[in-house]
Amino acid sequence: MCMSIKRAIPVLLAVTALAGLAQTRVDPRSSMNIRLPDDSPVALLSASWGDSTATARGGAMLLELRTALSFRNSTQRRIRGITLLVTAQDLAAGGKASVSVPSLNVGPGEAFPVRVDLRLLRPLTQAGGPLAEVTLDGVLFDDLSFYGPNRLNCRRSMMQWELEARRDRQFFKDVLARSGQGALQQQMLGSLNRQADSAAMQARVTHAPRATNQAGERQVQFAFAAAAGAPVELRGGMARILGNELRSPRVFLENRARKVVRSVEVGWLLRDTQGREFVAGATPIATSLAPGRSGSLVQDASFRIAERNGQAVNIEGMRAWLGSIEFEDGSMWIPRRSDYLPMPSPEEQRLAELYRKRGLQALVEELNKF
Amino acid sequence: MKHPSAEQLALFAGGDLPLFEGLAVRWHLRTCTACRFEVKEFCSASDEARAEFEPPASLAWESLAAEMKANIRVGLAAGECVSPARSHVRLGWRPAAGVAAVTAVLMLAYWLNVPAWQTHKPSPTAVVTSTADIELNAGAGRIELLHPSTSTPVVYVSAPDSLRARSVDPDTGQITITNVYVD
Repeated sequence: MCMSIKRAIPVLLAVTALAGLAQTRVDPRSSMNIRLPDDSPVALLSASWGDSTATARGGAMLLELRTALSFRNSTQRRIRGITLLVTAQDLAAGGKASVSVPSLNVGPGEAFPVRVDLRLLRPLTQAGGPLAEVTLDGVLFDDLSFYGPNRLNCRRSMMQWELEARRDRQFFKDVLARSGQGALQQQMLGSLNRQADSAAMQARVTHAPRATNQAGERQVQFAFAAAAGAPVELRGGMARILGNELRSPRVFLENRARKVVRSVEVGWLLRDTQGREFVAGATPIATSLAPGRSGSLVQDASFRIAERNGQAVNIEGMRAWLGSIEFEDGSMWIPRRSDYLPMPSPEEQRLAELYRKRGLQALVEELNKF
Repeated sequence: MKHPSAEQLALFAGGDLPLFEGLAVRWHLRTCTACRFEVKEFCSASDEARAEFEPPASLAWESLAAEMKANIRVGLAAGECVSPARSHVRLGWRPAAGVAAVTAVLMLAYWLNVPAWQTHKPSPTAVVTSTADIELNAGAGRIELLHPSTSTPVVYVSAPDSLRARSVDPDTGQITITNVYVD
């Protein structure tokens, strides 16, 4: 049978495409391992894989997991939060991630879901074995006790979320009791509006040592928003800014408490050349500041900020606020509702979403559960 | 008739003309009396000069050459005296081993103290993608934490080495907070 070259090329291309499509498919269930310690306060009831896929293409493995894990509270205490650690094999820099669910209210023996959705791309360096592993990093109970290895320092985060949740729930309950459902509704609408108005952004962090000065870099001073009654007085700070990159912010503070301060979480509010403000986030800075002592804290990191569409944000100025203070004895201080709070707490966001989807009555019933 | 120049006639008289030029002058001298007289005059002058500058028969060329060679050697030796001294001392194996050991220690100290950023390791980067998922790029691998398409996460920096995204699960209403860490 004779075939001209012109006709042979499309046939060859089609055959090649079919061969490419005939990729090796791997069972996603064997691609992820869920490991809990023997004395874990939660037990894995089920894992639903949904539309998870794991395919080997050439020299790489693309793993996309859409899992809904169901856990049961195996203790006699109520669970307020859980953090799972997700690690990936053979990721050159030891990449890891975490999934946390705060604002839980899980009673003894009750079940609750946790979603783990991830996409993993890795070179095919070795055959066999799970590509990702999920382990328990921490569980927070209603008495603020903690269980877990705490490899990610999730205890501090989960405690802060729980304290904020209690503060905000109490605030909304006080509004409901003092001013009725109408006032509560106004509070919810205001919260939803603030969340919608907050400028969406992208962010990039790189793990870098303290960088040396670069051409075009400028040093800016910034002030802190007032936080009445804070045990630490923040006297301001300075940072280096180069375009859309914030480098090595430095904070000056004085410990007015009677306990040693272990870490201070500082929130960053960046202003671009058009006057728009972006909440860059809040980062804890570790220290060991004795009572009555003053000091300066430097964060060895660089953050790059961009808008959601990828356009760089040229930083013109910045402000800061005090997010939380952790003391050496494990106790924590958080700002009051009347202080400057540019970011809603996870609990406030949850309650606002509950109001938006199910209405005011559902919100009132939820508040009465606590 | 074109006569050769006085220079050509003088060179012909001394036998220093090139072959073909000499043949041309010789052919001219067969028929030119004036040029033959010029050549004869040049030859006589050459003989007289040779006779005047003839070295004496008693001159000892061998001793003169030896004296000249000796003077040359003296001059060269004098030049070596004023040039930088070349050390012909060679290190023994013990000092050489000591120098090598010190060099190795210095190189090891430098390598151990080279700042991380100078080792040109690829810096892992945590970044939020355009779809607001959080992505960690680390070497040849990548891990992304995804969010339900129906939710709009709030993304922010949570630590010097991590990014955080917070979203509401549309099915359960739970808040889910995901972090990727640049380790």
